[in-house]
Amino acid sequence: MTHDDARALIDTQFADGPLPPLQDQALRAHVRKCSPCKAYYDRTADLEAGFGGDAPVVERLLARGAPAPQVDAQPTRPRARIGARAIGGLAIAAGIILAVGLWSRGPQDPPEWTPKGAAGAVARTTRLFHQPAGGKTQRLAEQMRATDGLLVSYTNPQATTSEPTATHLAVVARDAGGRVLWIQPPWTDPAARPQTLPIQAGVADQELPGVIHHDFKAGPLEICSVFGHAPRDVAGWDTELTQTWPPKGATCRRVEVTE
Amino acid sequence: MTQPSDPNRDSDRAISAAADKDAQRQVRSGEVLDADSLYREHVGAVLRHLRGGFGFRRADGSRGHFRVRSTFDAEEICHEAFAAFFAQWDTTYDRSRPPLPYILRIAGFMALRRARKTAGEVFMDAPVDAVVQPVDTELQRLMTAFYDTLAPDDQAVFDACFVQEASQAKAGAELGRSRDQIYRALQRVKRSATAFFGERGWFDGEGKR
Repeated sequence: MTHDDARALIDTQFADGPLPPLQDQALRAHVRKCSPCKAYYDRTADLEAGFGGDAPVVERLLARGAPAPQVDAQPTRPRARIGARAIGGLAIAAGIILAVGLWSRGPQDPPEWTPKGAAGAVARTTRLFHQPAGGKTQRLAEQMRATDGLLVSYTNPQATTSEPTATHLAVVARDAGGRVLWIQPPWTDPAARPQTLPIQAGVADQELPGVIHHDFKAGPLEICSVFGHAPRDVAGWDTELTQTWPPKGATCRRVEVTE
Repeated sequence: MTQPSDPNRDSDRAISAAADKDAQRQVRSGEVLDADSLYREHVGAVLRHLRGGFGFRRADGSRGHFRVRSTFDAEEICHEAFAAFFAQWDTTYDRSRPPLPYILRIAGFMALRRARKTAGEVFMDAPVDAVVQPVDTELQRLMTAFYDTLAPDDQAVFDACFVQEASQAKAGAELGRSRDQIYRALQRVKRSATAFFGERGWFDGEGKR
């Protein structure tokens, strides 16, 4: 980004309100390293205050959404404390198992999907749940039945470094028969031309709608999540994935499907 | 691809609703962190704390007063303070206490730490009217001059939105215009302001608010 680009974005931010996430990230990354642009940013903010006090700045912060925790900078939670809490609150533990959209990560949790290169404050995760017919929703661990429904939730924290916030998500699987099956978006109609799902920025867990059923073939099922920064045509991508698997930039995990 | 089936839709919904209710109960009781709500509720106060200034105690025991002069830095510190607070939610933060004072302490600590690393930042012994006032005076003078350059219609929008602080919808109702017309008028006014202030060297100075 050049100085002129940065100043144009600062002017746009002042006149039109908060920038879209990607532009905002790019601007902040530039201003952090560029003293003249930082001075321009601050002077524009001074001018902005002449029009609306602190309100525009607060509006800008709200538009960025809640940040991700700086997990790397903090001490690890003592294990003994986890144990004491677990013993003292069986009801809470039951609720925690049921709830979709939890924050705490315990030692029994199945592995999360974290994109390659993501660390600490900018980690994005996707969580997968399965729902047996007539049964309770639970986190997907190592196994599921072919008839189980799948649910997906994601966490897409507002980055606090130069890593931009993702804007779109796709979750796609390949079963033992080598078939590519779309979980989010749940695409099945060849005539439809959906795009990857737009997602919100925020540290809170977001549940995607729908319980998705496919006739998975028994055997290993590889499920991959891909966070992106632009929408992508699902049908075209599907054709590509039948020849090249796994998707580029994906974080994948494998579960076993039983009859 | 294969055709999906959904044999237990009603059951799915019931289970999903139960899980939602349980999750909501946990958020309300504080068992689970509702980061977005906390952020929305307190981000304005944290920003005002950083920009308005706060007292601190030096290593030698004397007291000082510090404010974050750069709006950009204040925004960054604000965001980082919340990130640190969320990370401490399960560890050092006592959830029986109100969160805002805790977040303000984190933000203040981060601001001071950043200032110590950055040359040119000043730790002041008194509130900083002497620094802020010249900027305010200059801004006021230029704003008055700028206002006089606006067309009467735009002056009316300026008065409604910035002097009376009416919402765009309310300003539109008062002035007999649609909200979209008000929004576009405000865009026009702000773009004119950028040009007007730029021609007078406003952006050549340093941020001091």
